[in-house]
Amino acid sequence: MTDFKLCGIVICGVILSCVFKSLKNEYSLFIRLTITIVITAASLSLFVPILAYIEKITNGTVIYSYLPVLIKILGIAIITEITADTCIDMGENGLANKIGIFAKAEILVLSMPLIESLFNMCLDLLK
Amino acid sequence: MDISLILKITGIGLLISVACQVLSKSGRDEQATMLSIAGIIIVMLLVVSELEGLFSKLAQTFGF
Repeated sequence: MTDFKLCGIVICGVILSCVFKSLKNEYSLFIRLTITIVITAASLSLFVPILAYIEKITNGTVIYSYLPVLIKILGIAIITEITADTCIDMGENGLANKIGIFAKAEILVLSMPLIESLFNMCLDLLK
Repeated sequence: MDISLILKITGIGLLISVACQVLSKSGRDEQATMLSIAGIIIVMLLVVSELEGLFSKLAQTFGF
């Protein structure tokens, strides 16, 4: 999907969402969610070659062993960003912050082996 | 998928809001409420199935 088509869909969606804000507020949320789904699906189709390229150029380097973890962290960040923005749009700032806290904890858990290997590397350097 | 789902949701939403207004103006408030709830459930079923597809695609791309 090209950028122009996507921008056109987003602008149409914003207009429809605006119409429903005064009529029935719930339907503006559904319109916003659907637009989010369309944009994210289009971005995903671009992400796949980017991730494949990163995997190709880091092949054989030290980073390659940590690449799955990094990509998982990126995925968690994207999904949480989408969810939190949807919550904020509907006025639920508290829920957005809570899901942010959960995502931060999950990212920390995933990066624990990385931190451990960083400390080990520092210890080796000091020896 | 592009714009068909958005148009479906818009169509259902407009239909439900017009029908709710007609019902509440003719004094049938409970039926208007029930109709709006039914509309929300229908649209939620549509959107949630699309969300599920998106999340499974995301999980596949990012290696979950």
